[in-house]
Amino acid sequence: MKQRILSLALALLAVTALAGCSSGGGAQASADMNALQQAMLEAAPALPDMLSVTSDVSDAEKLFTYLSDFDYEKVDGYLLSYSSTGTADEIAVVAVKDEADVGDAKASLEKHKGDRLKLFQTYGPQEAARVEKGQIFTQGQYAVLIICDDSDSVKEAFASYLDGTTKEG
Amino acid sequence: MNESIPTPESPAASKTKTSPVLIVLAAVILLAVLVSCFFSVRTHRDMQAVLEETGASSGETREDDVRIMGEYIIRSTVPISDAYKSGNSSKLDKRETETLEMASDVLEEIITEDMSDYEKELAVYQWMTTSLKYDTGVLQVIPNTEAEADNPYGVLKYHNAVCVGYATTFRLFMQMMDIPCMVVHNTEAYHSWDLVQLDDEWYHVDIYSDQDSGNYANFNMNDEMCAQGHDWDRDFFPAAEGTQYNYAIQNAQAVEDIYALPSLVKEALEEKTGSVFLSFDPIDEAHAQIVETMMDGIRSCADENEDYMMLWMEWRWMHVTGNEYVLAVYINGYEDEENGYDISDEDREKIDEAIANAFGSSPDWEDVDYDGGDMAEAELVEEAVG
Repeated sequence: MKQRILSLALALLAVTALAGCSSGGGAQASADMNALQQAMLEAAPALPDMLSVTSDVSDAEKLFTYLSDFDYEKVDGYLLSYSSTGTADEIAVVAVKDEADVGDAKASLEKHKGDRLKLFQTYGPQEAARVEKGQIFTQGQYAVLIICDDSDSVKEAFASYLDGTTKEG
Repeated sequence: MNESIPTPESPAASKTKTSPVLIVLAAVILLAVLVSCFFSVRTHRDMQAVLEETGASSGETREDDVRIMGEYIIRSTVPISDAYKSGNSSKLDKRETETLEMASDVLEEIITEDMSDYEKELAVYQWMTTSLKYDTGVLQVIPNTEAEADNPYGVLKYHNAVCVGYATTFRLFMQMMDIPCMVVHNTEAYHSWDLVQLDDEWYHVDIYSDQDSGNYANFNMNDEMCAQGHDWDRDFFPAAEGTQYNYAIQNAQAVEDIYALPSLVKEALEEKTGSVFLSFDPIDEAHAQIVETMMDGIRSCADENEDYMMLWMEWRWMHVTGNEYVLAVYINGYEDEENGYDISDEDREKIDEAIANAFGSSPDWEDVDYDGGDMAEAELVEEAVG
């Protein structure tokens, strides 16, 4: 009996310890975030020099906090492209594991857009107007933010890419 | 019955004896959990220390030791300005001494003894808006600024600054000249600027926001003007109620006929002036509405004009006294500012000819990417090498 109790205790300890060490990484995005990113960027040739990250990079969880306060444990994958020249241009897609959470992911992007708006109202009012025109929407498990002059083309590229991968898949 | 009560020596007792492997495993896991808890507590304490350092945990406003955008800390430079005033720099460390030397060189270059405090302040503003450049990395979604852009040492050495760098460097200059100055931060701690005191009145100065244009839009504002784009703790920072040293009010041109406004703005556009200040004394609400309607019309025409469509124009009213108001019109985005080069038509033709001689054709200047070397940076490299 004592051995069983000890074994149970050991198992509980092991589970607790492992949970403490877990970073929650390793999730796979439904779409290939790198390919989706490329497709969306190509749809807006007038974009300035852009920097890009996706959920594939090693510090993806940390970098995600610059975009969203949504629980990263619930994220299946994401992409983020942003201007390196101080303009407001930005494209982001967050794929959630459970489609029921996509509304929360969208709300986090709304908050991010609001924060960017406040920043540009202070540092560059001409860019603030562009942030205000930015689009945020959801499609299936994806929450999407697009701030750029060609936002309709980028939105179309996003939909086309998903349509293509859905048909192929 | 005796067989059912195992003794330590009995076989039944040996069956319940714990395996040494299990004990070692338990000890290792317990140790791991304890270490994990220790570091969690330590991390929590470190975080608390940072929050306490920046005043975020107490919620109390303070001037220094405030973290802006979670990254840049406003730090006092009083030891450096005190050393300048006393002429004794023996208590400064190497970095502070170097900062003092660089700041002293600037003041020697731009300040003369016969200047008033206002003229000294204006000279520093003009030097900072023309000699420094702002670090746009702070505006990136994932911020990436140059090192040392938030303090006078880095700002004076590399001529690259974020808002905290502008604010603390400006305050250093003012305090060196015995002009009272404070660094202000907004309530959400993502921007900072200065309050400077001239003739017992405080004025807001936000050089970072004027860096692109140098058009004095944020130079010596009172609280009312400043509140149009800033938000701060008015219970902590002193009230700024004066208008005497506001740049727009000081330099306003009296307008007798309000319908002269379009031609005055057009003139400014042709001369590539960054700002126009027009004084209406007096003006009533009905005439103010006519002026605003004209300004909307002017902007609409400018937006349609090929020469001005890339410009960005804004205006604001400033109340002076009684029915006297100043209309400040700010114009940003002139091509030379964007490209950083001021090339005459004659020089442009020579460049075209030289390139055509070498390559057989001239470039289409509309498509040229102006990202060449910077002579100011070259001078810095030279200094470092020398």
